[in-house]
Amino acid sequence: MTDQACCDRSRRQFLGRMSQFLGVIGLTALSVPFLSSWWPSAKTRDQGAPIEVDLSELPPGGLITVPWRGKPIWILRRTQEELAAIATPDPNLRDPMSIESDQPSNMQNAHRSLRPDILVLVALCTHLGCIPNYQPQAGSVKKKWKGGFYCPCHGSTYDLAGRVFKGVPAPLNLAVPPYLFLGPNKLLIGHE
Amino acid sequence: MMNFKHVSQWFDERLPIVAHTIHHLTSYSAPKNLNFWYYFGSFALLMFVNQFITGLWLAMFYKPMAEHAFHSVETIMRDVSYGWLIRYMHSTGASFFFIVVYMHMVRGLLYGSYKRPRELLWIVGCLLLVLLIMEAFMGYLLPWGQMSYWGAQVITSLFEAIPYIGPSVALFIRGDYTISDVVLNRFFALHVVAIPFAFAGLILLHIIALHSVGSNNPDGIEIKDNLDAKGVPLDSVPFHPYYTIKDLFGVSVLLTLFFAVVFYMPEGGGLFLEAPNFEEANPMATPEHISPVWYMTPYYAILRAVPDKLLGVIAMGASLLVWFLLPWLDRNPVKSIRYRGWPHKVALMCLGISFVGLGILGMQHPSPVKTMLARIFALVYFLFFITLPIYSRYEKTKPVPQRLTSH
Amino acid sequence: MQVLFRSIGLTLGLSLLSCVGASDLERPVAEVVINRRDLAAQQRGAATFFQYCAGCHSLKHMRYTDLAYHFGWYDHTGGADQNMIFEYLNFINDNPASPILTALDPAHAGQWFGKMPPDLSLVIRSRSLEWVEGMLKGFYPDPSKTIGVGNHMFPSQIAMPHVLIEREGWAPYSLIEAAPDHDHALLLKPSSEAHYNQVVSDLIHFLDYVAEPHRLQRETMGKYVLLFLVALSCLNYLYYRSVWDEKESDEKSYEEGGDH
Repeated sequence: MTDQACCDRSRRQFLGRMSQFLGVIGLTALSVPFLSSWWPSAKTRDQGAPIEVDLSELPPGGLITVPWRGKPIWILRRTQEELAAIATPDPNLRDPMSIESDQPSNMQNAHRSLRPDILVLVALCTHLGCIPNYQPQAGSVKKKWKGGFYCPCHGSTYDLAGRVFKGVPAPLNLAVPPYLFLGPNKLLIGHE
Repeated sequence: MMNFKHVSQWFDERLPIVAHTIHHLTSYSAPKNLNFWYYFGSFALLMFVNQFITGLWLAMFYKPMAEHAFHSVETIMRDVSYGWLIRYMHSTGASFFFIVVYMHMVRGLLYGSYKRPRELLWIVGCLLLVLLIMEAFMGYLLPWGQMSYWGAQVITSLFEAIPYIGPSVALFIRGDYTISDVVLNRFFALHVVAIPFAFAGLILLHIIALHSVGSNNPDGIEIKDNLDAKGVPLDSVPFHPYYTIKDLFGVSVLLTLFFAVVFYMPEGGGLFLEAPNFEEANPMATPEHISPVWYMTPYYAILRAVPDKLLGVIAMGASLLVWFLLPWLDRNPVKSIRYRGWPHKVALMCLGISFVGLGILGMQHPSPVKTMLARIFALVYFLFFITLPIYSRYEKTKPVPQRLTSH
Repeated sequence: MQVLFRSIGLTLGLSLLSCVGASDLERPVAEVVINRRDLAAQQRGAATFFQYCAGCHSLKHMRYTDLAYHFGWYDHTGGADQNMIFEYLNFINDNPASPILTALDPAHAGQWFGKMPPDLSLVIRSRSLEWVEGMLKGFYPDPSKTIGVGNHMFPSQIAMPHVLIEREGWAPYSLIEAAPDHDHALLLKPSSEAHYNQVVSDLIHFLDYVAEPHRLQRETMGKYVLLFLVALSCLNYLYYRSVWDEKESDEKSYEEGGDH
């Protein structure tokens, strides 16, 4: 091979590699809009925006359900008795310290909420997604029932902080959505 | 690396499709003198892939119901992340697809690529053109703008011109008494599923037909007439790396032009995205001026030039279908324009001017002068196909070389 | 010969294409200048729109929150500032993320104007900047018309009254004391133009934004994409040439290499 041919060849190989390199960059850049379009659109984000809830009409022991991002969200104003019931975690709870369950980091406490009296939960059973029933009456679901939530689909039970009991199919405590207080009686649910 | 070789060997022993495709891409013997006109085949394939991918993505967000269609397009433009870019790539892609395909056909005319033994290759190509026009027509209804609605109304009502069965045919095609949600839904299904499938299959056949006989070239001679000791044409180069890399360059230039339009003039001066289509379809109000998109205007101009409804429809259909006959209309054995006589050069020039002229006239409001011009152009257009079998037989041609002249 | 044919063809094609853009309909000649980075103009235009136009015209492809985010109206939680939305934009319902609709009932619109006033989200794209400007500046007094005005963009009749009449500076209507069978309104000629031009320009800036909110992003991104593609094209050209030149020199050395 002549010297010129050698130069030609290495020049060609260099240009080939540069072309490949830029081509890969180009193709990667081209994929960005397509992949990016799969994230929730501005409309979806707007529809999933945080919602304000007014609690001034909510009596102690009262439970309201509001929709947020297509999910039902419970807001419960716990009574003093209910707060006393959850003050000491029941020994039959599967995850009393809420280590496995889904809640904002500042709500991994005994009452699983920002303020003890107001409980906010995602009202979907962590087993297969049914909406449980609010059963505050002592002894209503079974003997020694201190109040809590009972899922009629497969019998999972939760205490008045949404913590799941042992021996039921649901694996986790009920999830707590992100929220904050805009005022003493105003919640903003969904604020991250 | 050894592992990769083993895996690919395992595959090739059982399903050699990958090896087969790669072999066809790389060792295909292509003439060594392919020029500018030969870029457009691979460009067309690229445009098909573009339309497919951007179209698939749009279909994830578009709603094919009359009530929601227009707004869903605006949702794509405003709310979906980079939705505007995907939409513009699809609308620009449609026009670029036609530009590229028409140029591809010009190559066929210049170098006689439709002549023996490539008649079937040409026929498959004509089928692809018809499918492309149908796909574009149905796709244009989907945004549900004023031009979408009224353009579809005009074209589907053309079928009513057929004697006796016309109105029933039109009713059958639409599935409703007028353009409506019913038509929109079925056109959506055809546009997204049926025609793309048919297209993909025909493209495959087109490429297989090409590889079976080999490519034509600017000199119009068969390179397979001169083989070396191993049976490889002397005047050929392997497709890879010579034409893969040349096409890579061509593609980067095409993409530059394509994205220049996408980012800086997606409306194409009102030709690619037509202004009336930014208004939602209103069955109670006809726009001031209805015309098809630019790539269908030559045929539309022919339709309008004929003063009779049925004859106009027949003329329009004939103007498209006559292309299928081309291999048998050209009686001259010389393929390339480089060695043909002056009659053929003049005829091709006239064909080109009349096609472009018809296209421009088809976009505009008719007037007595323009209608006269359209009739003249239509006449010239058809005269090309009518006179071709006659003059091509007696045409004096230059001697055709034995071996390729340029490289 | 080839080059000659090609250059003739190109010239012909380009000159023919330039005729295509012009339509047979009349169009105002003056080109409208838009600065798409002028957020203040867009906000002033929005204020004008919601005071004078939103009573009849919707912008249904935009939501109030879209405008709030674009204008930078955020509250302390990072969402759209609803106070601003309800103070300046949304006067018809209590949903800040609702599409920008109008409170005008289509039935009433049919009775009063003959048809529902069109949605204006895309009017700049379906008509053009020049047309919208021509229309806003095209009102003139015409006692023969029921609404007292005509518009140069509408040869026969416009159903829309001149809502911006007070911004254009026309003196208010004054009635002629006339016989009971007459009922004319006298309109005095317009006085100042400079202020009205600003109002119209701002309104057009706003409507232009609404027609294509991502336009600025499109043009900015395009710069980088095209820079990349031009570089890639040059590189690929050099690569292509290097491959084919290598073939040339290989063939030449083969031919010159003596007996074979």
